[in-house]
Amino acid sequence: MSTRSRRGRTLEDYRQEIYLCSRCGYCRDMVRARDATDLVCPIREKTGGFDSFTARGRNIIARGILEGKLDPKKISPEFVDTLFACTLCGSCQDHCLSLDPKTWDAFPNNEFTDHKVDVLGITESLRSIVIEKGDPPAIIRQVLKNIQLHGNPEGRPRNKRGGFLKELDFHVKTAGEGKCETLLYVGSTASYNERNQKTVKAITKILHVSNVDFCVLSNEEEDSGGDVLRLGEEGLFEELARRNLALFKKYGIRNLICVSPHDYDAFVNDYPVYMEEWPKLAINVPHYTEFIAELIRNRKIKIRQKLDKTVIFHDPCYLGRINGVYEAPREVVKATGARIVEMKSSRRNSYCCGGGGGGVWYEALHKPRLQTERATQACETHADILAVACPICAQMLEEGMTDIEKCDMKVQDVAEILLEAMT
Amino acid sequence: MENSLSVKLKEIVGSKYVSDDEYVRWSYSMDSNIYDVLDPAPPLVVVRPGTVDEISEILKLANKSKVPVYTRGGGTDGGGSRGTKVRESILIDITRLNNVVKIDEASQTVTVEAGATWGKLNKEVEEKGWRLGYKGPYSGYGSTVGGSVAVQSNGYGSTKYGVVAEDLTNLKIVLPNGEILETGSAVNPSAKKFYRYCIGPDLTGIFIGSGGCFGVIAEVTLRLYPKAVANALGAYGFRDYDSCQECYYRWLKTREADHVAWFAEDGLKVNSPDLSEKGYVSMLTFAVEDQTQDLVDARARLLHKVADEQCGEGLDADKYARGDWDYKFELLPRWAAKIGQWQWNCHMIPAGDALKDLKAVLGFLNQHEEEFKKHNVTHSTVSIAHKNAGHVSTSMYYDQNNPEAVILVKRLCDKYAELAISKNGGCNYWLGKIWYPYTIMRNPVYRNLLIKVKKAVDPNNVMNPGGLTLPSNLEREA
Repeated sequence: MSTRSRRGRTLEDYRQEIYLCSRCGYCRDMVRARDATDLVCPIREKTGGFDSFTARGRNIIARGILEGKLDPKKISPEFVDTLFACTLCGSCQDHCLSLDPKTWDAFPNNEFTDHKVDVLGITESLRSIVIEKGDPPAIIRQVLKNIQLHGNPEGRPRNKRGGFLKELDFHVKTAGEGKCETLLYVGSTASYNERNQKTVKAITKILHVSNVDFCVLSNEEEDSGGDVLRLGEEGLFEELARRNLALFKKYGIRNLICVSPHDYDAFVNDYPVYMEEWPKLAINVPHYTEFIAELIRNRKIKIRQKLDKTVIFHDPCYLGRINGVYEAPREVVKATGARIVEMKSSRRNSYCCGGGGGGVWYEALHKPRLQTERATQACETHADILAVACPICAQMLEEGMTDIEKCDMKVQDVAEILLEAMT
Repeated sequence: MENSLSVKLKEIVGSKYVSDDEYVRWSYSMDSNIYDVLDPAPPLVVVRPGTVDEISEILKLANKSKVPVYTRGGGTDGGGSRGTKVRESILIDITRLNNVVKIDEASQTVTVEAGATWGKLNKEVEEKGWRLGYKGPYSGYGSTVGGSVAVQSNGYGSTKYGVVAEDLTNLKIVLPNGEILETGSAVNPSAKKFYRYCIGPDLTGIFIGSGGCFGVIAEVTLRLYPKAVANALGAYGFRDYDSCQECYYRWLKTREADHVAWFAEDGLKVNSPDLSEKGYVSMLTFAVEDQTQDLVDARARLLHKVADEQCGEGLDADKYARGDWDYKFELLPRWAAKIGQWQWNCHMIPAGDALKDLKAVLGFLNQHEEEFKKHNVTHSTVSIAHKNAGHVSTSMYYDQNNPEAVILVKRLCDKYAELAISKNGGCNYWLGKIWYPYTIMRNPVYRNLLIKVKKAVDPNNVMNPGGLTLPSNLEREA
């Protein structure tokens, strides 16, 4: 069983892991001569950079709480900002050498779950304390309220969730219109954001022309709760998970294609441990890049024009570093004939876009603007396209690009790039 | 309500880099050592200066306000070098000053800001075709160059190049009154940073191993060596200690190994239990690196010859020696995850006396074996060589979540230090509360001179008061 999920653990339940931290500081700085590692915590670099931003510092604080030296009822606004400034990108956990000894030889190419200190879970449990106390940042409170009331973080109407797919020149089957074993789970971020609706349209076109029998839940779709859990609101996550489980059972879903790596992470890692019934359903959960890469391998995709472009791919934290999916999106881009070049910080060393862990909504006190930094790194490659495979990354990096003068690079989802080559 | 000290510090470095928040301060309350585990001490305020001038202004403010200052680098201090007034102090987190300032080809030196990590420094010099002699302590990815100078660290490369001080040519120090001091050749404003022992007395040495009691180390200049293009490793098992001692001694005498490690019985049980089971009582490993394959081969050949003459049984070097050398800086956190947090008990001993010391140490550990077992504490004794000295280090690995284990390790560390330092004649090289009672505190002439220097350099006693066992209140002591 994966240890990726917090599994309902409180700070007390993390005691052993918190005390495992040797305070070596590698979550703060770990530049190695023998490979390309550079920066560990992007947030630390772009803020005041105090140790409270690091996993080590947070473990020391957690010890203070567990030992009764710090009062969790009096968590300060500054530390609340620190906690929610973290994008939960997982880089610190990935650099942590508190490894399962059986996996020592694999370092630095370990599975995310080989790292024995669950930094993400500890951070989420600290956030839970803030949530329970009722003192999260106002925007986070609003996001959670919106998800609770409207099923999406922006508080948009439920009955407008799936409407954009009607703009396509073919019909996209909704669950209930006949058999629906393969569900394209669009997710909240992609359902309401115009930029990301383009991505979803591209994915549906690719599935359609490849004769994949799939459906969507449209207005019936619920938020996966992945981000809710990351924000520390476990109760709401469980409620959303129950609703999703019921829906998937109702329609007999066998394949759950996820647009967002954040939803993918929740279904792959959190649902199996929170929902006892989930494993029995044996639902196959691919990220859409994995599903499309499989179509490519099975020659179901026809490329009409090879793209004479240079593409760099930004690995989303929740697809790459945390869930180990690096090749599928690259396979999709390569199928178009485009040239892929790697950024200095790529794959497991990918630099976070700033949107994870609630960063897409919460702007920390010192405005770290990771999206601008990442867009700048991309522009320095002089590639034609910055490819993404995550709606949050797309949103953040397009925004980051607007901060940069003299950079004509386009941010495109890999599905959009593939579709261009298919038509 | 924000305190006035914070307001003034914000005027110096900007509001982003100052915090007196309880939670932020608490994240600085402990380093790696057991003293901090037992008594975590958050500072009064944390400040992260970005320039030497900002440090200077901070120290001027501290002097004017008579507020103690504690400087922190990587936060990996394993010996307990914090003084007695951390809770009242301005803690300077030096890690924003982390640039490699200059690789000076003509001088064959690198100048680096104190807050740069060893990992970063090694990477940057290697990218420019150089290498460091002393490469950094075992915590080198996280620990900083300035911190190593302040606590006088040893580590990779020490067998051939000695501790950090021995390749050090120049320091830039911010004195407690805010003045900026250059040492070595840089005393001459026209000169480059390339030499330490020139112009006048070696003031550099006052700041090495000073525990931050005499000023803030802002920049460090180190000698460079040509980048290594090849390396060789060796590993030998020994079934009796005397042969091992002789081999160890002779290896050091050759001065040809970059790294020599002697794993004693308990070290073998932890690191290579298969060898213990085969009846070996010790293992010696070496690493050699150099600028040509021929040089590496010749040096390694000599070391192999010595080991053969001393009845060492050749072992698979890739299996037993490569990890320690190739994955330098990565071992300790791994061990922490496997068998517990480490507490080192390091000391140096003449190379020829290493076995006598080891035997006494192992005897001591054996006496307490029942207690170790009861509290699930593991110990591992390894002697890393330092030129002409053995560096005997017993790590005690304990569960930080077990208060009884913490107390046991603290108690046995104190006893261990008494044995190793007082009885065996060992010397600590780095700083910390573990060793002070058996060294500085036992030598009034040395300690009184330190106090006089402290009073001259830092009359208001703002720099890490109580560090180095110097009095928290200078006047009272006087």
